[in-house]
Amino acid sequence: MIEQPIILLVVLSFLIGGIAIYLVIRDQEHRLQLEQQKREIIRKYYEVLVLQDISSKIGYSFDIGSIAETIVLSVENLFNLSTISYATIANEVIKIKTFQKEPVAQKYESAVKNILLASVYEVNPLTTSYRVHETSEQQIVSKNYISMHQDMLPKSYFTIPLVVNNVFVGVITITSHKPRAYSHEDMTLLYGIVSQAEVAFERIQGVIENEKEKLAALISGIPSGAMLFVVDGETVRLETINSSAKKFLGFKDQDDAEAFRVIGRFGVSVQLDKLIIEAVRDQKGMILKDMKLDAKHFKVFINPIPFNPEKGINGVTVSLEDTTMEKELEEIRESFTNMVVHELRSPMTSIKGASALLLGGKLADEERMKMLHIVKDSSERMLTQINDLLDAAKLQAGKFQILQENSNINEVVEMRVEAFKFLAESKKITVEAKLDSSVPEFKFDKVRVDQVITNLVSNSLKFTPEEGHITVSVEKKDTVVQITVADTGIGIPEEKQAMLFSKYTQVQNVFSKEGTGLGLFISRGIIDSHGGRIWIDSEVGKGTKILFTLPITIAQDEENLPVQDPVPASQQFLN
Amino acid sequence: MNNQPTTNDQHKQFLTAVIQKYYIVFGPDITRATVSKVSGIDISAVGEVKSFHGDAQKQVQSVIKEFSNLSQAVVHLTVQDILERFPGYKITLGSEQLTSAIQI
Repeated sequence: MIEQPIILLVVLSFLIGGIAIYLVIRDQEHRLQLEQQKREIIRKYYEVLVLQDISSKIGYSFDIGSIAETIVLSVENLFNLSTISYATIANEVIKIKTFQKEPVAQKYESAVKNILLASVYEVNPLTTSYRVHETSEQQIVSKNYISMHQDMLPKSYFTIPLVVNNVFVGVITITSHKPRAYSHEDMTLLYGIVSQAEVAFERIQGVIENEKEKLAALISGIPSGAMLFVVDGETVRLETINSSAKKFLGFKDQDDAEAFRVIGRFGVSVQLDKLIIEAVRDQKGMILKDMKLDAKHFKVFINPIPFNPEKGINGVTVSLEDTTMEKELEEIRESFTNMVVHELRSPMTSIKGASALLLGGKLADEERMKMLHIVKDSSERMLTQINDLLDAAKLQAGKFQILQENSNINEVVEMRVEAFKFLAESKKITVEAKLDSSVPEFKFDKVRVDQVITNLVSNSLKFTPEEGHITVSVEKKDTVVQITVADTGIGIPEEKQAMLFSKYTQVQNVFSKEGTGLGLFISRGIIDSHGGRIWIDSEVGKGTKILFTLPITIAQDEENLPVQDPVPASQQFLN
Repeated sequence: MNNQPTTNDQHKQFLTAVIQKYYIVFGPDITRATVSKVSGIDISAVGEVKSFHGDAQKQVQSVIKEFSNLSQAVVHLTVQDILERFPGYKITLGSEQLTSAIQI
């Protein structure tokens, strides 16, 4: 009877013990699970921290060396290590850099280098012929370190290849003098980190490439020459150049304009590279007002731009503005002013001299008459020149007006030719008019058209040698009358014909030997105001033809026409 | 001629070539740890395959997959070189299937 409770007690004890053991095991499993989860969380947290560090340090760098170094410096404190190194491959050079976290002997460092190179050569055998450039950095803080044995070699190491956009660009190697220093977990953690850093770098590269393409597209359309230089320390690199800049600097569009060639084109007197570095150093833009390149003039703007100054990388824009035309016009304007002053001073001097003699009262009648003629001719010459200047000014201001009325063009031509005959004969030149009786009376400004013919015949007389011939012909051509002033003079070179009707012809020595040279500019204004056309047909040594047309517009019964203000000549002239 | 490798020696040689390549590329520690994830392959201290058990083609694929987890880009850049030396192997790398040269 006593046995029963004992058995029950024993069974109960077993049961409780079993439950207790079960609970302990379950608790242990749970704790292990929790421990694993905790480790996993810490690992992830580490990964995130390191990646954050890497991404903040990488910034917008596109140099694989600085990327590798950033990764190395971000992970160096995660492991117990003797050295951490990287090798990068660019432009057929393998650059190796080793950071010593413990004092290692030369032999150890050589072994590290061999590990790095063996990995590089194994992934890309072509690199065996590349030049190797090596640097080392000691980062030992404590002074009480015990120097490693001279014969010590890496006992544990692992290498992480760097591949960006499917291109093998380098490796990172971590070593320790202790055997089995790294757990599989630690090593795979680092592979994961580097892999994500590579993806981030690829994204950054994508963004940079995209931005570069956008920038290139944007500046390619600019008529000014535009270049972007990147300054890294004392190194100046050409980042972008547009086609206008290439053209200005004498490169072909397809040419690969390298920095040293571009800088070289600016010459030693400019020393563009020094100016670029100076602009970065002073953070101040500068302008070269007149840079002469071949036969052209340029204004050069050099401006620093914020790029990545924390990393010592700066951008500088250099733009070129072609000021050749501006420069030429400036010279022409200057010469024109000189010419006007000269042209007005010359008759004024004659008037002053003649009037002084007249006031002296000692001249004979014949001489007095001669002096009075000088005063009259000089003042007429001045008046003509002043009128020309006023007409030109009116044309430019759009205030030039013509007054059209029914007139006979044959009469105008005939009268003008007759008027020139005396002067022509004195120069042994014949002048004749060829009229067309089929031309009806039509609306035109008789005075202004006469001014055009006078101007053209006058020019022909200046440039036709003795025994030459000038013909002024009238010809009806459908709805227009064509008037041609043809001479057997010296002719005008083709390259100067385009300048003929511009304001400053005389200055260009194109046509006029004397006077303001505004005659053809005004003539064109008058003909344009009539809705006609004026042009030139000339050959050097054979003569010149200046032709112009006037539309045949017959006036209606004017009394029934609405009264209108004269049409401003500029409205037609400027079209 | 059957393109599929048939002898154990061939498999051993192929696997040894793969493992020894990554010994140099990644380093021995991580390579040994990576290979140990595939069961049935026994390697020496220098990365030579001493013995293996199971389907050779599957094991090759598993080893390549484990190294791809470290760096698929590197495996992609290097594995073709090994395949050229060992005809008859097929390897799937991501979505790509790489095949070694036809056996002569």
